[in-house]
Amino acid sequence: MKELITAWLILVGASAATTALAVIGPETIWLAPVLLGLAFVKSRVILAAYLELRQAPRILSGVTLAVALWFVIAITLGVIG
Amino acid sequence: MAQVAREELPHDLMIWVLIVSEMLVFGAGLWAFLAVRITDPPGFAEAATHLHPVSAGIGTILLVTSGLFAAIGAQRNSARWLLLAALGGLAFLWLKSHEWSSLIAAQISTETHPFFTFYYLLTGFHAAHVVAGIVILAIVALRRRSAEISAGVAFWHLVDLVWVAVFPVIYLMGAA
Amino acid sequence: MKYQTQKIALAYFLTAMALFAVQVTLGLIMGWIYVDGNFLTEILPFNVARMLHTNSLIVWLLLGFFGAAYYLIPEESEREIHSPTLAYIQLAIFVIGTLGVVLTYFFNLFEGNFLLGREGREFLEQPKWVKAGIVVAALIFLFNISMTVLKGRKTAITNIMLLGLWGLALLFLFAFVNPSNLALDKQYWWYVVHLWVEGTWELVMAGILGFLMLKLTGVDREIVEKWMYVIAALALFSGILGTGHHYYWIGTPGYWQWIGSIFSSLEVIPFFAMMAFAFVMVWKGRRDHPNKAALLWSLGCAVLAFFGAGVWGFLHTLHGVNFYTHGTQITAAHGHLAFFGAYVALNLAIISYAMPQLRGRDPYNQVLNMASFWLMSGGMLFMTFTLTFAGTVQTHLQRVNGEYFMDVQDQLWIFYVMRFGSGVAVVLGALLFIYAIVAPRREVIKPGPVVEQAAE
Repeated sequence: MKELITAWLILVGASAATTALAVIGPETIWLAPVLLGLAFVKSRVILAAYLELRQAPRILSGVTLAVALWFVIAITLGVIG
Repeated sequence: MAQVAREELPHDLMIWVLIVSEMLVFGAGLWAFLAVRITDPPGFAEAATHLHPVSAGIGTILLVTSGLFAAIGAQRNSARWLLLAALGGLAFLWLKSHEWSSLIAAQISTETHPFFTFYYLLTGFHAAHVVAGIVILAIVALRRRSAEISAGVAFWHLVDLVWVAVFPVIYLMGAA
Repeated sequence: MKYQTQKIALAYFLTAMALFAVQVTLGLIMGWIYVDGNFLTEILPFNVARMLHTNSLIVWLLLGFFGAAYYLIPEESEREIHSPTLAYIQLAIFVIGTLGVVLTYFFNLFEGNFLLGREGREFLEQPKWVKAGIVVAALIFLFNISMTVLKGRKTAITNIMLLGLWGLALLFLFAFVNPSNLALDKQYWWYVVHLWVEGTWELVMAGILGFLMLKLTGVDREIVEKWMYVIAALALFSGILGTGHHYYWIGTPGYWQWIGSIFSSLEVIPFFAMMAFAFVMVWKGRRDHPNKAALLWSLGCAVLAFFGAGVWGFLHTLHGVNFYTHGTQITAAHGHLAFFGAYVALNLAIISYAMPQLRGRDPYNQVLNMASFWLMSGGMLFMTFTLTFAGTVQTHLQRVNGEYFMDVQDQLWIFYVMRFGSGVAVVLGALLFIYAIVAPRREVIKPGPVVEQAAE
């Protein structure tokens, strides 16, 4: 239960931070990496806590690696564009 | 793969097949969006101004909160929490329908700009999953069988997971 | 053979093999028309030959599926087929319909007649009376099979087979939907064509392959079933919206290009899973089944389906690529290897497995059959390569350089000659296969040095 609440707090915090950042919209090349980095954190939290992959650490690390790779490519495309 | 999976995997194998498939689909769609965006950054940035990041941010918070309810519902095998989660999904859909109707009122369709082709496609696909998720949550809540609840709630988390990637890419990259 | 009614399969398989011979022979004739454009123009115009080539393929594959169902469902359900009489009536309807189709196409009888004349849509050219006959026959089949399964044991194999066969029959109803708007016409047309070969047929394929693996390798049913459910789920997930890859240029909205590209790219996965499944089962299996030919065809089916349907399909499925390659010989290359790998080899696998038992010739060492596998598969692979090169050249000359279609065809002549050669190999292989399953009464190689020979 405590784990779930922690996960939820991180998710809400990260979502709020993402939205705030985008609204302020600072003129920096780092904006896209930061926005997508926060999204990566959120997806990892959902996988680990909500989807309970924390019980299966090896699978979690494999899935995290795949998701991380996805975000690296997404960030690259985002920075180019 | 099979040995590891049998020891540790939470939820049914089949729901993971679905989750991974969905991640591939949305992942490919978002990559394609970002790749096509390179061909016309100003056009994409202009198009993105028609969207409302704050309302999408609220939608995100609604979804992850509903995800929490679903997770609690699964833990406690409680129909009430599961239905509460479904309610969160309904609220998200209400927000989404407002967004779409204002865009349609502004005569913006899938053919207006590639941005909107992807926008409607990805948010539409996602919303279809929200609808399916609500129905599934309602069904498993009423039947109260733990294996079904586990699979249904996993599907609901998938809907969260996908949205967490759709949200910044579609709604916020315009600012970046 | 444990159940008497499994014998029904024999009639189906033999009819299928007769049509198989017709189909490949027509293929060879068309291969020559590509080399010499005036060959038989008066007697057998190209379009008629093509209709017969494709339609006979589809009908014999369906007959093979029906035969496979009649063969494996009694064993799976552990009971006799509900009504053998109905099964034979169903076959008779198919035979009459097929004869009707051949005569109608060949002599172009009743041109323009609503009920009796041939219809203009590719692959669905059958006159309406034949289509109606197909529906009746399909209903008889579904009734017969469903009754058998409902009264008997239900397994993953029967579940997935039934799902595939019901879907197949229901989707055929879209053959009757023929709007005058060409875009809508095509849209519904693909409900039959695509959702058959990249949807329901894949389920049938998973079912038959699962049955063969169960019998040939002796792996636990539980493991086979888990694989089958995953494969079926992947096939439906990718295949249904994968239909979008036919909606790129027919007048549908632009978003289909992305739906089609993304989902159809994923269609590679179930075919990969089927290949992985077949090999993992063989590695895990402890059973040394004497029917090596059936195992060879099963593995060949899984591999060639992955390459023909999966890899060669992916080759031109992205809309950016398809914009250039659409309707070139690339499509023909894909079509040939995909149909051969996925569905021809599948049928030949179950036939190779079932025939010795149906004809009471167990144990049976099918050396001729295995030779036909290499001849046919080798020929088909060579044909795929020549057509792929032809298609690549054609794409460049016609779509990039903008040369005229017939000028380009002239320049592809050498590829068509080579394709004809590979076609000869395929036809000889097919005839050898048919001979091998029908003619020899005894073909037992003494079970002496089997252990040393294990490396085929």
